[in-house]
Amino acid sequence: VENPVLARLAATGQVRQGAAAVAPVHQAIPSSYPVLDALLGGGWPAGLLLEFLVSPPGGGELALLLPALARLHAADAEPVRHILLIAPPHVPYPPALQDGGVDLRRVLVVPPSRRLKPADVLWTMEEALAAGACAAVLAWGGDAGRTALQRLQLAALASEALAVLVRGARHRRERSPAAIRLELQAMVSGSLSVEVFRNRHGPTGRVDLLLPGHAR
Amino acid sequence: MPRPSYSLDLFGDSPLPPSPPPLPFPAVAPRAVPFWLCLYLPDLALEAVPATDTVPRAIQVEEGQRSWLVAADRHARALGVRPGMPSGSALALLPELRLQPRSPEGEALALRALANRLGAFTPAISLAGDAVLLEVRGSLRLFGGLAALRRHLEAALRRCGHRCIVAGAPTARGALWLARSGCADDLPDPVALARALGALPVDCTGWPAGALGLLEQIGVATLRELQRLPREGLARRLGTSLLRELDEAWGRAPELHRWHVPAATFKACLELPAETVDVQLLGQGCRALVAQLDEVLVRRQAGVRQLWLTLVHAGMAGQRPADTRLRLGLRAATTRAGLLQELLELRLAGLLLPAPVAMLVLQARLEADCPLTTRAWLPGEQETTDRLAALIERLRARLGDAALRGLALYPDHRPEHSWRWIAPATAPAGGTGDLPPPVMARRPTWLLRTPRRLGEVSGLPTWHGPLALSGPPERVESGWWDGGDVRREYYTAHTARGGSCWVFRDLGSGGWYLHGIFR
Repeated sequence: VENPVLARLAATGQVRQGAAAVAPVHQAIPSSYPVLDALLGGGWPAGLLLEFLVSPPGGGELALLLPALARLHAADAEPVRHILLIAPPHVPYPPALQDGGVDLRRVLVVPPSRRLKPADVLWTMEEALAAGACAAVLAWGGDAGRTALQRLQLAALASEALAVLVRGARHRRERSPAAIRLELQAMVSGSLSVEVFRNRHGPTGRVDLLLPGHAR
Repeated sequence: MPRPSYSLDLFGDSPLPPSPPPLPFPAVAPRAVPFWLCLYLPDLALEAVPATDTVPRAIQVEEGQRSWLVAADRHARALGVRPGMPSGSALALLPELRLQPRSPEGEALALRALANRLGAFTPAISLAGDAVLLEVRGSLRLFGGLAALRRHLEAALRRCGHRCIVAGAPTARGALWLARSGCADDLPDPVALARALGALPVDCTGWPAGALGLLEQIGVATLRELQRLPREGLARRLGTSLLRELDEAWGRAPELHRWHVPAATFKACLELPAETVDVQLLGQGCRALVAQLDEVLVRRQAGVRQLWLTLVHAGMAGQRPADTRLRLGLRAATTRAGLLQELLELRLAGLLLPAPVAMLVLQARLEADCPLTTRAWLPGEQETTDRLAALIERLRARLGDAALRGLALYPDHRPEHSWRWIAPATAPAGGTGDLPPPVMARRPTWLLRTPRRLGEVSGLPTWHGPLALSGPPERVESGWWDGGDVRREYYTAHTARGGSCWVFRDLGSGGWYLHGIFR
C-alpha cells in the first residue's frame, strides 16, 4: 500500500527499510536546470562524490550550484546542516550568495592560505563529510591520489551530503573514483557548457546552460 | 488387523495411580494462550550435507558394523530407497546411490542459521533437533492474523532453501509432533489439538528406539492408545521424562524452553550459479548476502563496523588458488545496508581475481551500540549542532584557530567592505542583524580579495583579450570618513571567451581594475 507520508520519509532516509531498500537511494537536489536534471536523474545526487573539472577554478561552478545550495536550505528537513566551502579560489561574495537564496548563517568557509596544503583540503573535506553536520561540502583541490579520492568517495557515501570536488581541467585524463565527473567550460556565446563524461548511475552527455544574467 | 485392547493393570501390580483429572486447557490460565508454529525440516540431514554431483544420494549413519539410511533424496526415494533401510539393501537396490555420512554439526549449524533468520517473526524461538519452534502469539496482531503471518513465513522459508512442514498448536511439543507426522495445519483450539494428537503414530515423538520398540511390542500404535495406559506403569517403563513430554504436548504440564540466542556475528554463504570473474555478477551475489545481513541488522537493532567478504575460487581441491579476502572497516558502525553494498561493489571493482569465483562468504560482527537511525525523527537540531561543534574543533586542531570562518554582510557600499569574516557560529543566530540596504545591481559570485590592475588598450580594459563593457556604470563613492576613500565606476564586462566579470575604473587615477567574477 503506497502511503505518501511513508514514501516521503523513505525518500529522505528517515525510516529504515528492509531488504528492498538495499539498493542505495541518493537524494537528488534539483539543479533548477531541467536539461541538467534530466541528465543527472533528477538533480545533483547527495551522498556521491561529484568531480567538477574547470580551468581556471572559479569558472562557473559556484554559480551553477547556487540554486541547489539555496534549495538545501529551503527544502531540507534539517535546516541546521551547514554548507562548507573549502579553499575557494576567491571570496564567495556574500551579497551574491544572499541574492541566490543561500542563508549566510549556514555557510562556513575554510579560506585558502599558505598554511592550507593540498592534502589539508582533502582531509578537511573527508572530515566534514564524515561528521555528518554538513548538507553540502565543496572543495577546491588540485592533485589528489587515487586513494585519497577513494576515501572521499567513501566519506561521501556515508554522508548523505552534496559533495563536490573542483579540480583543474588537466585532471580529466586521470582515473578517478568519483561517481559523476563533469567538465565546465565557458562558451563564447556566454553560456556554460556542462559535459558529464562519467556517470556511474546514469547517462553521460553535454548540455549548454545559460546562467541567469549571462545573456550578452 | 484389529489391535488387542489391554486391560488396565498391564504395567504393574500396584493399585491404579490417580490419573490427573482432565484439566481445562490451560491448567493455569496465563494472560494469553501461547501459539506455537513448528517448522519441521524433514530433509535437514540431506540439506546439511552438500551434494557433490547429480546422482541419487542418501545420508547414512554407522554404528559399529551396522549402517542404515536416515534420509534419501527425491531421486533415490523414487527408485525405492527409503530412510531406515540398511545401507547394504539400498545399494543392492540402487548401485549408483551415493552414500554420505551424516553431519550432526552441519545440521545444528543449519538449524541455528535458520533460527537467526526467523527473528523477524518472534523473539521466542526454540530449537528441537530437526525443527525450529516459534511462539507467535504476540506477533499475530502485527502481521494481521495467523494466515498473513504464515504467508510471510512461507515466503521467508522459500528463500532459505529448506523443505519445511509447518504446523501450529497451543503447545510447542504438540506442534512438533503434528509437523513430524506431516500435518501442516493450525490447531489453535486445545480440544482439536488433543483430538489430532491422539490420532498420531507414536513414532512422531522421536523417542529412543528402545521405548518405541516396547510400545510396538505391546501393540500401542497411536498416542491415544498410549494415553489410555496407566500413568504409573508408563512412568516406570518409559521413564518420567517421556511421560512429561506427553503431558507437555497435551498442555497439562508447562513447557520449559531453552531459547535460541541469536549469534553476535553474521555469516552467510552464497554459491554462485556459475563460476565467474564478472564484477557485476559478483556484485549481485553480494547484494543477496547484504540483504540477508540487513534483515539481521533490522531484527537485532544492530550496526556493522567490520565486514569480511571471502571469494572462494573455483578449481579442484589442492590446486585451487587461495581465497581472496576483502576486509571492510568503517569509521563508525552503520545500519545502512545500501552503504555496505556500495562499499563492497567499490572494493570488488578494484580487485584482480586470480581465478573464477565459485562462492561468496560474507561475515560481519554486529555492533549493538549503534545509533539506530542516522537522523533523529524530529529535525535533529541538537544532534547536528553537536556534530558541527565537534567538526569545528577537529578542523581547528589541525588547521589552526582562524582556519574556519563564517560570512556576514556589513552595511557598507564599498564592495570589499560590504561583508565580513566572522567566527563560525554553531548555533543559528537569533536575527539577521543589521542588514545593509538591498543592493539593486547584480553582484558577482566571486570577489577578488584585492582588486587586480588591468591592462588597457585605447582606454578600455583588457583581461584575456579586450573586455566589452555593458550597461550603465554603477557609481560607488564612499569611505571618506575612515580613510578608505573610494570613487569608482563599476561595469559588468564580457571577455572574448564568453566569461563575464566585474570591473571598475578608479575615478581618481583613471586605472581599470578587476574586482569580481560572475559565475
